[in-house]
Amino acid sequence: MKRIKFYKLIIAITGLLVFASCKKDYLDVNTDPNNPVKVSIDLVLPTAQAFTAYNMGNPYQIIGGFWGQYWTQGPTGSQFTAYDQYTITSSTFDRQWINMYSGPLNDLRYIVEQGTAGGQKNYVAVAKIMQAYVFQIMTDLHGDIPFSDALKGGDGVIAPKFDSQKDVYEGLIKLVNDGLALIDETSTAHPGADDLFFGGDMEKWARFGNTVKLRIYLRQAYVQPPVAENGIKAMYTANAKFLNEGDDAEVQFSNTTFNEHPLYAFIHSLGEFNILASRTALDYLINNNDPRVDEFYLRATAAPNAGNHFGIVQGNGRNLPNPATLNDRQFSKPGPAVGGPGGGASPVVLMSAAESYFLQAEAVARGWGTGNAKQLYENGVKISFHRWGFTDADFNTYIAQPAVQFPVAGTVDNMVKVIIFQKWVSMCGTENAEAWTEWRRTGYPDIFTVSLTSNIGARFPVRLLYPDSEVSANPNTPTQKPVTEKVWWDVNTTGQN
Amino acid sequence: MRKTVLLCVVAMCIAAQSFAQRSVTGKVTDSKNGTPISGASIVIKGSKTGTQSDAGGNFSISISNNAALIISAINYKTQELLPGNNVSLDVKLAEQATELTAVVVTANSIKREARSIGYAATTINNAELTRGKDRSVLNSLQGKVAGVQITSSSGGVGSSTRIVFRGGTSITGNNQALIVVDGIPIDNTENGTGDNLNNQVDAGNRGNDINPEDVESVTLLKGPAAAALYGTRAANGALIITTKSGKSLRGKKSEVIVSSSYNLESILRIPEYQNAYGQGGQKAPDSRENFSWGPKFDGTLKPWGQVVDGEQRVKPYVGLKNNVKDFFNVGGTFTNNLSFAQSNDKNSFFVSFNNVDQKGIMPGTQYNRTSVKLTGTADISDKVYTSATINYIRSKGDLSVQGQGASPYDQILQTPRDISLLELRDYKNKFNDLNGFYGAYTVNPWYYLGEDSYTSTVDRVLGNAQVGYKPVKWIDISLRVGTDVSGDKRIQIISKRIIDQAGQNGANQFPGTYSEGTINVREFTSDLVATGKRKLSDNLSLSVLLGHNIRQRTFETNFGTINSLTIPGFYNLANSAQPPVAANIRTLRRLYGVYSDVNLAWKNYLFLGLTARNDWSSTLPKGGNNFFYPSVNASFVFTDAFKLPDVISFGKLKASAAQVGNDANVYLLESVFNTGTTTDGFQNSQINFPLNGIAGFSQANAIGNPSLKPEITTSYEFGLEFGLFKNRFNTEITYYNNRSKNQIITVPIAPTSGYTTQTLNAGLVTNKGVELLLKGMPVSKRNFSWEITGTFTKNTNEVVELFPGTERLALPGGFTGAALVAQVGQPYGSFYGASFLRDPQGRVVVDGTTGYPITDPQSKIHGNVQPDFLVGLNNAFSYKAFSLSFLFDARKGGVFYSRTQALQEFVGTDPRTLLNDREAFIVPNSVIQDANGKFTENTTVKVQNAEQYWTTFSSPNAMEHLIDASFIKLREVAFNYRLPKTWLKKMPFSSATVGLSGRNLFLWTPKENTYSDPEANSFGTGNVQGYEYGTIPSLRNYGVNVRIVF
Repeated sequence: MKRIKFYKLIIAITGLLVFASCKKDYLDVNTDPNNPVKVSIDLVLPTAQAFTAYNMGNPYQIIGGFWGQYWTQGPTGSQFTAYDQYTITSSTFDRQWINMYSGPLNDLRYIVEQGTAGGQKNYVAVAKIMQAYVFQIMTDLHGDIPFSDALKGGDGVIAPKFDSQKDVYEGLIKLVNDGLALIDETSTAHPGADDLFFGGDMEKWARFGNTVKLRIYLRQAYVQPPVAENGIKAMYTANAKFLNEGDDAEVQFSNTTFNEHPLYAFIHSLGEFNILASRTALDYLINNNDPRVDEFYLRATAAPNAGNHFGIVQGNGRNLPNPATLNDRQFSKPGPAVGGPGGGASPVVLMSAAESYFLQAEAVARGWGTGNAKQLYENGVKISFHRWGFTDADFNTYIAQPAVQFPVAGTVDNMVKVIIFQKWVSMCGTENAEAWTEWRRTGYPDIFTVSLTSNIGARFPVRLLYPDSEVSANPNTPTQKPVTEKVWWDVNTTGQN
Repeated sequence: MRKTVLLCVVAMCIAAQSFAQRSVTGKVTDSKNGTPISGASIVIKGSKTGTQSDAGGNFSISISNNAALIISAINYKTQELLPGNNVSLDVKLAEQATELTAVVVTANSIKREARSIGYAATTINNAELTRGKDRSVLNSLQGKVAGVQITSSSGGVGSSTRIVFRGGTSITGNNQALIVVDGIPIDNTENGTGDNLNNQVDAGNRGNDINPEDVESVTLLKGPAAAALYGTRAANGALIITTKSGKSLRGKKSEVIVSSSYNLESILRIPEYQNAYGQGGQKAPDSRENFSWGPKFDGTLKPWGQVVDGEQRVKPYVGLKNNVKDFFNVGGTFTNNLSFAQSNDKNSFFVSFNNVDQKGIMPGTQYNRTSVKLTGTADISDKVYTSATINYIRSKGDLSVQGQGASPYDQILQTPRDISLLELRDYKNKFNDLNGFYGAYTVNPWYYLGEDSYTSTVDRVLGNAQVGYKPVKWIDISLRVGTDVSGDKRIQIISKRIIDQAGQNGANQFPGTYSEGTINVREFTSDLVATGKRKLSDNLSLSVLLGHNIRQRTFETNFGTINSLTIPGFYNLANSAQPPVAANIRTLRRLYGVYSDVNLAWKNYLFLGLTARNDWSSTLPKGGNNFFYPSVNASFVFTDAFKLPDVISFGKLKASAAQVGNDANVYLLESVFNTGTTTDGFQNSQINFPLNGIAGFSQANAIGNPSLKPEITTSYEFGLEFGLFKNRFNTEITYYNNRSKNQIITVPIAPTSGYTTQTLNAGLVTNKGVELLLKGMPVSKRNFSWEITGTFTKNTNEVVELFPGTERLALPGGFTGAALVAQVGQPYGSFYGASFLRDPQGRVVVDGTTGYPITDPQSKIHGNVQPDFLVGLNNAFSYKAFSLSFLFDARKGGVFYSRTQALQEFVGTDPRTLLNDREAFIVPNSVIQDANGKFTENTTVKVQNAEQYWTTFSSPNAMEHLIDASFIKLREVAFNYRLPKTWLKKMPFSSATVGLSGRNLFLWTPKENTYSDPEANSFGTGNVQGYEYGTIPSLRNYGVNVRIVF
């Protein structure tokens, strides 16, 4: 064997293989084939909207339902016992915190960035207005939150600082204003079917933006009245338009699995026995002969209450005697129209037209807006009746009752009380968290009873805690606050704590 | 080295042509005691001609000049010799058992003499491996090797096995050893299902597909030094499996082996139960309950269950002691194996058929595995040799769901003590069907077993082909290409349950789920290796290896699921009003590397080895995707270098230092978008896009990291091996120190950043430990021998740092309440959660008025899964044709979480719930804190309601269910009888053995563990260990076997 030849052979074979494998693209296989690296913003807007609706229509709907006293824990279940005991922990709303920040808020940030770079002004407008809407929910639930520093993980900010709620509120106004300024109703470049709220109708987005802005200002009516007053007066001066009947911001769901109304899907998955009617809301509806009760609640189907509406005193479910015959069908449950049993194809309401009118009524009642407060209030009630399928005649009968009449000659507080009461009624099962938040702001409705299974004594819970995921990963998180500590704008002491 | 060279020369297979024939006689004796060896095979090298020694060890054979003889006998080391001009030969064979100069198969199928290796490598041969007749190679290694922890997850059929060497090194990555079969790394993934807690199925891991009977030997390369050449995937050590080929015959021409075994299986540990109270709550009866908190048993006849059609069943109100035990079947495994091997001077082949048929203890579950293996070798010329192996394996498992959810075992654990599980067996009769079933909160377990199913059917082919070229005697170039392709077809059925909504069981209605899909894995490996061996001088020899390696791995899954069945009992993806949900995942990763291994030997007693490898990986950023890592090892056989007292027969010092690099997982460099899906954490209530026909995407929660670097594990190892009294006592002791730093870990970040995780290089984990292997032969007589083998493993693991600002990282996969975390300063895998408040002495602080424990708002570390040490002890006796061995395997320390305990306390079946006969009691060892913060012993304040204490305080407190995981197991017993040769004379076979074997026959645990085998783990073979989450109980096996060699 000639040695030289043989060495050549080794080198040749090795070289061949090394060369073959070192081809430039051989290792270039690390692009994820399962998940796209870049997508257009029209594919991101629908998830931002639907996931907001998911949280508003399910976990936040439930906590708002319990603490807004529409619903209470059923006696044969235990899923929400802690809500009635007011003993939620830092893990209770951890998932929603994660969902909202790393879901809709971060996706809206992407739309703002990409839309700005690509000149898609109307998308940027929609995203900014929605950011304001979502950030307000987060701050109303948790108080001080990361805002100015948030959503910058891609730039290396992985532990954002927290802003005071007051600063967040200032930022919210700026966000809405920026959004409103970008709306170009004449442009043909706007979202279409990917906009689950308004199908790309930019005029409606302007109305929605203004209504959100009015909501943001009115929230400050007690803590800093001049800011609220000046802001609202400026809106009226600028002839701002608000949501009209039929303009409800909502996301429609269907009976397809995993496309169902999220509250319905939850109830369907975990059983119907956890969420039952609270007597606080149910009895109020019945006592005021409100026909909407049959939309908001299902009647009991089992003896001794079969065919009737029957609720449980707030928090009393687990205290009820528990004979073998006790079951959930002896009580009223959320109706299909609000995502209760049978309600897979109902919508989640983000902001109703009725709310728009109640907000306007309050602005006028306070003397900060122009118009007829009584008219606006009654329109709010009427639009709600229409929404739930009732006629003008039903409305006329209802509004004629002294208890629900607008106190034209009353004090501002008298007026606000009636407005918020009816807002609370109109939001039953659909905008529970907002109703609970408005109760925290105004103290109305003033008929809430401390849960009979409260573990914090004769007090009400008025905030959610800072979640574990943030506490453990963000050293900037403020000291944990108890559920009884009020948020910044919550200065009205009537009826609570 | 001279010997090696000689062997090399012989192995060249250059058969000398014969010129003259002459007769040679000889005698074969035991080298130790001189006893004659009968039945030894004497074969002329390179021919089929041969003979056997007679009862006196004598033989006679006719040979040509220059011919070599190969002399072999069972349990002896094969010898080759050149008779030269001798006409009378005295052949002394050394026993195999005490052999220390064995050959070890190291990385890339490189064979090296054990004495030359500077790191720990343990080899287990076929006989030792298959003693216990387990279907799994991995299980069969339990307790036999120091430095290794092997845990079998559950007693479900076809269940998985985890194998970890020297503790875990990676914080969030893989910690299991790489499995290599005939030089080709194989897939060892475990693809479970469910979300761990719900509908968990253990569908086994692919490493368990290998048929133990096909295995010639298993070498465990425990540290990075040993595996340095394998690179990336061998940072956790490697399990080198060499399968049988016709070349294993040791001179015999052909061999047929038939072996069969039948093993019975029963439950090793059934939880203990209370038998004083029956169905109901608060000591009152309630016929719907899963609670055993009802009235005390009184033996009277009482109605039970629902009234159906005006009828109700009646039974005596008594506790059923063996209720759970009676539910389970006696399982059985029937194993049959047939192999045929043939060899001549140029070619050899080996073919085997193997079938394992297991019926599980859970009624209706079964596992069947069939494998066929064919290995052939052919020397095409003096210079070119080839070999190829193909192994086809088909396995089918009909499995049971465990954990919570639609799991039969979960229902069994919740059955009140007076309700007979066997009575519920006919789940179609009117009292036991979905509507008539007694329990409103449970489903009849027999219904789940009868109507729901989970099957996994795997077709797998392992193959490799090798061609080698030896241009000159001292150079060998070979190319080996191998692949491992498997397809796993999964089908899960959760039946549609239609239940009368007005009846008590209405809440158990379910729309039905049908899911089917495939998991395809393909591994491809190529190694081109050139080896040169040269004697540089009389005393110094050198071998150099240069290699090039390509590795590719493809993983694909496709699943279709319908979540609402239209027609009950009809299982097809079209059987739904809604379109099926389709999901698929594909991943591809590639790597190539060049490596070198240089070995120097001085006088066959001083050895130095150097390795180096450079890899290029597809999963790291371009420009930063190559990484280099070296190793060095040395060994010194001082008994050959110095003249030492006779008592020391062998002594070796060894040392090594090594690095192993590891690349990243696929697709971590860029941030991506996911198709829209969000959930509230409950099953089946998520939204998945498209939503009403609109598509949607959302940014993924992980931030991509375009600057990831490879992680590096550094290891140091020192060891001593010595043999005393002519190697009758042997010891091997190894100390190691591993540091794994710069790990690629995925860490949680503040969700308000818009993301929840980021992958980065951080962290440091150290493992320091001692491994000890002791072998002794207190008795070694001609007819009787006694051999003791002991292993001791102590590993000290510490998470030294995570990443800046973080002291704790939850390992994905645990559950809230008892999270498994990596905590700085603690061993890897600590349980973390909130428990009862305790005073400095560890006593429970209770409320001064109610007597109930107060919960500590602060989560803390409450225990760790890592054992303090592991011990294995085997005794083997042989007396004439009888042999007996028994292996004890023990673990001290560490804890596990027992859901069985939590559930038993909740439903009131745990014997502990009988405390003070369920009357008011003072929480044992409790204190009350006064206004000044002072703790005083609680002697007065009683808990008024026992049920409330157990169900709402003790049971939900996960940290109360951490149990000492120590155990001693009688792991393996084997009793064999080799039929005397005289009996076999008229038979066509040369040897026959019958035996009894058993595995896991007894289990001893600390008193507090009345619940389960501490090795049980529900969450598979990943990093989340120590969770017994309603795991199917582990098994005790025992049976008979027979082995015949033709």
